[in-house]
Amino acid sequence: MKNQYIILIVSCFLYLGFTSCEDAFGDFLDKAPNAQIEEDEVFSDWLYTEYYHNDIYNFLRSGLGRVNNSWLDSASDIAETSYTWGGIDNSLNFGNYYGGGAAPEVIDSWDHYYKAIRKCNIFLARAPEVPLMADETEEDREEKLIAKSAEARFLRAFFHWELIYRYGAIPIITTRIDQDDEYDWTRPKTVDECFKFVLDELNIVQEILPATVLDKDLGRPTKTACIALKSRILLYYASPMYNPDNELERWERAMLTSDSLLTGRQFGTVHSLTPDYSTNFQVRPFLDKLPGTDNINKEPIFWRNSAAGDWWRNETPVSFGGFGGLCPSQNLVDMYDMADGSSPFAEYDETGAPVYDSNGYPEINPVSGYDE
Amino acid sequence: MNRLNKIKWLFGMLFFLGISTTAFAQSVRITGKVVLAGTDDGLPGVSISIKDSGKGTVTDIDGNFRIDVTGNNDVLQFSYIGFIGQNVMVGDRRHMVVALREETLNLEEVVVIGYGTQKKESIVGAISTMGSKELRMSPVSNVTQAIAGKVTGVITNQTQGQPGKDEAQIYIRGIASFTGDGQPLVLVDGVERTFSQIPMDDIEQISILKDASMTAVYGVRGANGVILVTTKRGQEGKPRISFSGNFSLQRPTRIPKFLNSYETVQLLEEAYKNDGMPSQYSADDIELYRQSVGGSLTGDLRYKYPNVDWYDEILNKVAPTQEYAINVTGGTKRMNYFVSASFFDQEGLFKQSGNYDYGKSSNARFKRYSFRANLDFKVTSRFNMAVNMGTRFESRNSPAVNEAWDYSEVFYELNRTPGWMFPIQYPDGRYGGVAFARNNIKAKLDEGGFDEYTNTVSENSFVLEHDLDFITQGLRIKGMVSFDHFNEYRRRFTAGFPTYEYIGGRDGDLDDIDQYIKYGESTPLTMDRNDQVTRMKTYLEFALNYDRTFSRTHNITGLFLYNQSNYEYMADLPRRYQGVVARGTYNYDKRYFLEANFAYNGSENFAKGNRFGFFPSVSGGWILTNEQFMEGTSSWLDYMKLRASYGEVGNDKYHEERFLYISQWQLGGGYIFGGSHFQGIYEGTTPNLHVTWERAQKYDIGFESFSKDRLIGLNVDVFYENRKNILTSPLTVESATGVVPNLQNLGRAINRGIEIELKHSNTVGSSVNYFANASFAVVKNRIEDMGEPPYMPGYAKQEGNRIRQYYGFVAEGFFTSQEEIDNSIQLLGSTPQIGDLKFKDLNNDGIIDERDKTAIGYSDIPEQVFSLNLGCDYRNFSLNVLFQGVNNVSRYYSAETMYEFFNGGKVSEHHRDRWDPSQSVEYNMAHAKYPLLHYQNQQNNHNVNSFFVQNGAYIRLKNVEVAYTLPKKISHRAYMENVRFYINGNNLITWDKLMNNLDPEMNGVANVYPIMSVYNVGVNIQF
Repeated sequence: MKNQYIILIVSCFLYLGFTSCEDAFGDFLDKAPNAQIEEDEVFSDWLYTEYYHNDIYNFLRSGLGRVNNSWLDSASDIAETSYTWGGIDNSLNFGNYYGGGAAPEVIDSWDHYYKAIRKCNIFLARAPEVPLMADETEEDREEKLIAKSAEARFLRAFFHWELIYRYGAIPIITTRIDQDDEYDWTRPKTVDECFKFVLDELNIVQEILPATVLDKDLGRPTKTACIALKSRILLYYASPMYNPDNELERWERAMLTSDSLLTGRQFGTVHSLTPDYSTNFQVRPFLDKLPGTDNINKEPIFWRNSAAGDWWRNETPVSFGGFGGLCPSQNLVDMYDMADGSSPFAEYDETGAPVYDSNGYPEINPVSGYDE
Repeated sequence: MNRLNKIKWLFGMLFFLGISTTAFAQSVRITGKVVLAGTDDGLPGVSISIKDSGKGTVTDIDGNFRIDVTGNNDVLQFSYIGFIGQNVMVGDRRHMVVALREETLNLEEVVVIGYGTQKKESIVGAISTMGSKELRMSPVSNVTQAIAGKVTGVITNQTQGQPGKDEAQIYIRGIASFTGDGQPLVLVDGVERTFSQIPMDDIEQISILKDASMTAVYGVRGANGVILVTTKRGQEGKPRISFSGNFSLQRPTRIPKFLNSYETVQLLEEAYKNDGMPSQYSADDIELYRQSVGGSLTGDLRYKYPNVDWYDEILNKVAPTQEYAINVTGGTKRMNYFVSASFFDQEGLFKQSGNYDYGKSSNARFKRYSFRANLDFKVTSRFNMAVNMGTRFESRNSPAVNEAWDYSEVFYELNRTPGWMFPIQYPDGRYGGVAFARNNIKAKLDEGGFDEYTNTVSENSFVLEHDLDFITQGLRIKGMVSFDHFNEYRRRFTAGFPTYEYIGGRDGDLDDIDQYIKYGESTPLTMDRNDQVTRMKTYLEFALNYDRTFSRTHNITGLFLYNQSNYEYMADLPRRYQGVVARGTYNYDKRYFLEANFAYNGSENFAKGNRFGFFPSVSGGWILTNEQFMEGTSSWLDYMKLRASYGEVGNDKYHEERFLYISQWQLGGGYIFGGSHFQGIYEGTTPNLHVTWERAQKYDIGFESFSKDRLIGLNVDVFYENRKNILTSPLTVESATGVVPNLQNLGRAINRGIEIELKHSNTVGSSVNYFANASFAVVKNRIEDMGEPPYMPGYAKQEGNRIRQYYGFVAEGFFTSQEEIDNSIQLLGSTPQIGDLKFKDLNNDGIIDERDKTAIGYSDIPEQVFSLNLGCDYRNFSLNVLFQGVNNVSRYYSAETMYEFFNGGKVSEHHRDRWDPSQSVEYNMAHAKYPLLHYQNQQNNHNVNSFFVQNGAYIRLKNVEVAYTLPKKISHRAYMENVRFYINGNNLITWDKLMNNLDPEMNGVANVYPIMSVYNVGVNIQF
């Protein structure tokens, strides 16, 4: 009797000893499934994969209230922000570049765009593996995959470009790098390599991207957007900042690309300048790009869509029913010609700004009839 | 007292059987009585011997004795188990009353430890205990507050005092981790439960487990120390009924002292001028404010030039608390019982007109009804069963305001709402307000609604225990199941109310409705919140216990235990623990002690394969005084023990986010194409597949001793802890990877210290006993590794500094010249002026900016705690006084009470000594204790900086208790066994070094319900 108990207890211990210790405890601690999504689930379902792809666009920065609720205009001398509690005043004008209250624009760009680039890379790597959905043919999928991948590559080039013009020769990342991965972080020796990467990528996707998109897809890049981005990048590339030896060939490339855009088939039909300059200052120029609105604004080529909301109210002058957060400066007014085309001032410097006298006033061109 | 009864009975019998020796002597007969100190309860069976004669006697059932001595120089020795002995010189007395004091250093005392009990002498770990008597000395509303100053090495911090929400944080030997809250694991009767709302009369003992040998059995959860609370149980004997009633008044220990309207507007004008703002109050206005403060203004002017003391208007000076508790305890051969019921009712300080229906009020109030039944059944001689049931119903009432542990809307408004701009109410009853302070808190209390929160707690456990001596002697098996259930229900009713700003100027008409701006609207009372929370906890435990002594000298005990727990909060995934515990102890002849413990346990929060951890400890002890070679010292030294322990314990309570090993991607984000939103998915934090608990390596060396008759006792503990695997964010992950870096177990901190207890007790004459116990503990921690990059400059690092130390600028006094200001670039939010704070340029780049921040002051957890407990008793009176203090601690108080005109707010007394621009720089350099006042350009001075890091050291008269026990003759006549009256108090006087008039314990938060001084009268009656 007594021995039996001892054997029982000893065998319990032996059981614990011989099985792996954790296994002896059964499944009491196994986590129950719940609503979380894991990476493999995302890339086993095309719908989720598209969700993932949609969110890449979310890394395009909004112009609205970009610097802690201030528009970028108020960081220049064409406007001032009237907020004392935030915006350009507290983030930039004061020199508070990276402390509490600093603008994400200044402190987060590096993180922000590399997060976006990672997202593109993961999509490009994993999307081809996603299994077909029930009622989907291989051709359908091939078509979707090519289109979505081209968008992702366009965006990846766009994000790299955002980093290049802020930081110069940056690491070009085209693969997924996880937290514990070893990676050679040596930066490219020259910024030329970076320009070459971005331009090559854009040349490739330019052939794939559609000429136009359906109304429901407005906001996605088109061939035109690709050429426009290229033309902008080439212009920067030709500028003295990146072109100290002033290689004329770069200017020529920039010019030809711009020219191809303006003479391209899309120009004048899909895109055109707004005929009446004044309507370009309507409060909702980008929303008017939306389908179903009467006044289609053809100027934007590639832009970030934002939800219609009260965003405009903060910046709009009080007399228009806004809160007057963005106040135009005299500088802005001075930049314009008179309605009859005459210049309001007698003399301008090379930047196009009027030349001010020792009292800080510009000499008025009497012909214009301008009165400050 | 129960033991006393048994002994009384036993010795009473012996006495009547005539076994006691009666000395025959020729000379002097002494009669007398031996009583329990502080009462006139006779102690039976006390042995009395005449020194060096071998003659002696014992007291009778009432404590009386007679003894014949040879002369006045004889010394009578009184001794009694469990009491401190006494030697009394006869002198010329022929009758004497001798008061014996209960032994608090009783080595036979049984102490509750993890998963069991041990006799005090065989304990080889660091543990402190306190009984219900010590707890009861503090008339506090929450048990956690009663621990302060009573347990060496335990640091408590109470941040607020709102009825029902006034728990103190408890740090056992400080903190050793820079994540998590550092709070210990708390178990009540062996089950993880909170103890803050358990009525003190139900508590038998609180054990505080400090070192690894004590806490290793709690494995993955024990690293922050463990508190074990044991409730009372019945003992065999006739039913004993105990009733206690307490009534107390509470008042805030401190409230901020703001300046009156007259002084305020003068400083306001000065601040406007400093900031280049236009003047708003003319000399005439200021004169009218002077009259307003003096009380000589009449008519409408009183409303136009108000002087509102918000604290005075909103708070009563005192608020009452009452508590009644009754319990019955006793037992028969088959069953022991302890049953209790208690009612606690604490009112808040808010004045409120109470115009809600059904007598509802917005005043804070906490009521608690609690019931307990601990029943033990001896089913057979080998089989015991216990059923423990504890039920509480808690009701918390408060105004319908925003509250958090460190914030109360009411006190925020009291601290911030200007007192000079508008009256609380205009003559017609309309509430005052201005655009930036429209939330008139008086209106909110009167009309804004109320919040009712009830919590029903049911904690039950069922224990079976069986002897297995048919297998081997000394073996027992035990099983326990417990089921706890919490049901919280919260309703909040809110109503809108308008406030009005009078804009008619000095000569306007207060009755003219057009002279007011109205803020807000009146809306009817509606239910705004209706939340229900259910929590459930089940716990299961099986244990084998072994306890046997071989050959009288080899004592062996063993424990093997399995347990699992399941905690469910609403619909969250359950939180679970599972594991085994083992303990073996051995002692040889009560001289050498050895103990080994381990726990192997884990939780659902970690990946399979990393779930379980092994946490061992070993410890040993040596009682020198039981050695033969120590006999030479036995005339003065009673007890001396050395002990040492080492062990590893875990802590998994450090992060709110669960399942860090899983990559959790989220639906969210997305984008608008065309006109419609498209769903997005974004990547979560990188999973950490190897995430694990913190691991503490703890070392402890202890020394315990006391001398003959307990004249002097000295205990010293030295400890060192190395806390590894602290979960922290690596700051070295290249952000160009684009990952959201996960938290990793790469942090490390050390925590070390010393605890010293010095005790002295003595008897003056034969009936005045006194004692003095002093304790002192120093606990220092240091962050060793926080994942900071190697190139980070040393001054900017947190590594090498204290956990939770303040970070900010180093203030180097005031700017005294414009040249000084111009010498460096100031990028701190406002351009400083002469008289503003000047900060040190730590990186010497000529720019004062965020990069010049460094560790300043201490942390908010004191590094030194000390206490002094003094007591004495004479006849039926007893007195007990406790001083408690902390040192090496910093406080950073809420802006509203620290800064001037913060957010349009007020100025306090400490702003009088500001840098006065009307005086010379030299004068200010000598006299200014506060920088230049600002209304707008405050940012420079308000950056967290060393000027405002305040010294939080304090000494406090924590408790005083005076008690009187009714003579037995009287109480017996009223059929009462024992009647004790007492007056006691808590937080009575505080000495500190703060700049502002706030309680230094409140950890820097001022916008909260203050903590309380309590003045209590009570009675305890036993039948």
